[in-house]
Amino acid sequence: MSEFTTRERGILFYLLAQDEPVQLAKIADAVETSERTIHREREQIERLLAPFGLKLLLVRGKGWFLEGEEDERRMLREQLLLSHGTSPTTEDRQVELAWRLLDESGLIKLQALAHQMHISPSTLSQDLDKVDGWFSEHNLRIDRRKGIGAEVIGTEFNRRRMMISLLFAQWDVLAFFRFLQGDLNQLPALLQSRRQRWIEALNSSYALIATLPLDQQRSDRLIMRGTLALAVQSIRMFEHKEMQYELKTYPLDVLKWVDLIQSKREDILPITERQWISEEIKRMIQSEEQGSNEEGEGIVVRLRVKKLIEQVSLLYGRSFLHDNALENGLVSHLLSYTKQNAPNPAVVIKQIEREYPRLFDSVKQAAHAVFGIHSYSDYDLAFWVMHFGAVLVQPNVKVPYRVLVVCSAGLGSSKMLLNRLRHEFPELSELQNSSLFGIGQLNLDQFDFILATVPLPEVPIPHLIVNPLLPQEEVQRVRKMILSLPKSFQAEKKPVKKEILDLKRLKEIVDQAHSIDEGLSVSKLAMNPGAGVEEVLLAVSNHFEAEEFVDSAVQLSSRLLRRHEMTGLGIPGTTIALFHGRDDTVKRSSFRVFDLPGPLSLSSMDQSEQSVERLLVLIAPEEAPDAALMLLSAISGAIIESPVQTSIFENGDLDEIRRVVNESFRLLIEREIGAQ
Amino acid sequence: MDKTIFIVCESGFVASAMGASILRKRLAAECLDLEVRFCRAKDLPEAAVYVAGPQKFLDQVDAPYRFAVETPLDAKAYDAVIKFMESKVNEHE
Repeated sequence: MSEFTTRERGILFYLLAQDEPVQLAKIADAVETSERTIHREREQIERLLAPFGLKLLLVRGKGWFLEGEEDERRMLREQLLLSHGTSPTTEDRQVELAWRLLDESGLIKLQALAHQMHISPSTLSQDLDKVDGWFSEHNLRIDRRKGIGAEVIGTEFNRRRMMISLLFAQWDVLAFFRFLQGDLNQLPALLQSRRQRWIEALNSSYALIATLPLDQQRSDRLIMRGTLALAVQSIRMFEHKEMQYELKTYPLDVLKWVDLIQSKREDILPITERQWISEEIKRMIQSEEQGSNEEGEGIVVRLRVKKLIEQVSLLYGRSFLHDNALENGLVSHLLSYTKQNAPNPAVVIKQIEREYPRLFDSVKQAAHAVFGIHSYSDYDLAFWVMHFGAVLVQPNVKVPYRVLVVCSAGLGSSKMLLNRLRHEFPELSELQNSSLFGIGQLNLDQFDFILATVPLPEVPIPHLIVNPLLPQEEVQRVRKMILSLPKSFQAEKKPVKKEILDLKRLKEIVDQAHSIDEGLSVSKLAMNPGAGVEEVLLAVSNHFEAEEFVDSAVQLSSRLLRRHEMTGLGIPGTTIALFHGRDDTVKRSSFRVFDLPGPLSLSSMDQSEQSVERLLVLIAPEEAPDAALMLLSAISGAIIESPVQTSIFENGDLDEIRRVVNESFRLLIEREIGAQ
Repeated sequence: MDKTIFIVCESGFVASAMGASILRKRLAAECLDLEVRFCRAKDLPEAAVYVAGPQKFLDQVDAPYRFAVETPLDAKAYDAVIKFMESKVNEHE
């Protein structure tokens, strides 16, 4: 069957994950090479695809596309998966480089090293920059001297620990156990140079570890760690790489185990080597008790996570690579792993299983391959699945989270926390703060979760107590919680398909609005200042009649008068009254303003008496069209909308009033066309 | 439960429109997710359940729950409506 180079696998894998043609530049980006290189691979890719019945389609202006049935794609995917791991990746190369540096006790010539590794000096130099960080994580340092070479500076203890890390980074737990069962092909490339010695060292070390009184619960990973620790020790002792002794005390348990190991060995261990075993056993016991990973685990976890992501991508058939958020999320999840404060993922998992049925299985299979069968429970895996699921549904851009921040006074510390949150979580668009006392007044259902700096009473929604300075580890806890919210997995609400715009109705509204606007006026009633309400209303009605808004002024004035007698029309606290009515005699809806020659005492809407100097008059036909009534209602609403607006109706001139009326029409039209 | 409160008045575009505006603001302040509509008493839809307005108009309408509001511009006049609707909403939840 076909074998693939790293690059070919990368390209094919990327293409498999695409639903439409992709530009060469994008492919080149994904596999970290140039467009030219991709272009040169074309014929080879076509050759590789042929046995699967797949075709490479070149779409003009759009790029490459894999054409073929789902079955054929699946076959290719499986083949890629099977061949996976046979050729080294960039990370493998960097691990090898780090290993070679560690293995060499003195200065190593870079020119020679590049030659041995079949890479260019400039690649080597780049890789050195990359592995620099790994060394400092292990309290080691690469001393680089231009034109001469490089040397690792640090203690033997730290070197060994880093060697174990590198082996972990290169060796799946699964593969490790297969190796112990006799499958020597599973020995990682790093150990090939002294193959026989390593095979012996590993087997005899495992024989020692296996006799320890370990309980069944102890994870495969810890057994592997113990075996590697003893094997590395044995190889290093053989090469006379000596440890420094440090005066330290160990718990009795640890010493008992060291004695046990010593009793099963033929040689007598020097005190420095006993210390190495003591340290390793202490570490084993601690990590078992706390379930935590410690220093130096960072790179292992990161490299393992990369592998995990790669495997899940292959198994699930969708690329999760190059998603830094996912990688960082998983790494910090694994590193800060503690059982406390972990929200229950059950709900979310159900949702993921429903929407992405194969995802859980893919993650589980990949996890078993990469970390070993018993390393993580389903409960832990659930969190990983959430991280992957989060990529699929991209939670943070879709539904904004609403967060309540609570501190005891609602001032200093919650403000500080708010700032930190805004900085760390741009996706938390709606943040509100409150005092502990104040949350009683809030409707908590409005929030997705609460972050508090003080203990909270019983609250019905997810919450966390955090340090107001929000250090990084707490950022991770918050992230975890956000990830566990069901909301994180809701797809974005599809925009409701807009209804067809009712143009006829809109025209009706605009026509009516235009008509009312045209008829709008502010006029002073020319009459005797002592005139009574009947006289005033007749004068008002005459105005309407003169401008042909009504047929009969008398009929309108009696309608307005009757309404006035029914209940007061004065607006309390002002000098205006709002006369209005619907009548057969009205031909066109209208709103007009009349200034009285002198104050008139009228009853108000709150049933008291008030002095009125201006009348606002709204009239409509008995069978007024809906649009007209809506517009007149909008004016009524505008009159009492705010004190400022009320005072414009009370004292404003035509322009000012027209502006406010116009604005109320605008709001109404916007509502009508769904612009709000 | 029915989520619409109707306000009625004589003309259907002044007192009830103003009252609706005031009641909406109060409902929003109380976080009650209810709709407010207004109309003439005689145009009240048959399905209306909750109706507020001056007693003389309430007398003309047939609805299960009626609330007399004589001073439409006074926010306090809607206290009884709010209190009742709050209990309805809680009961429903």
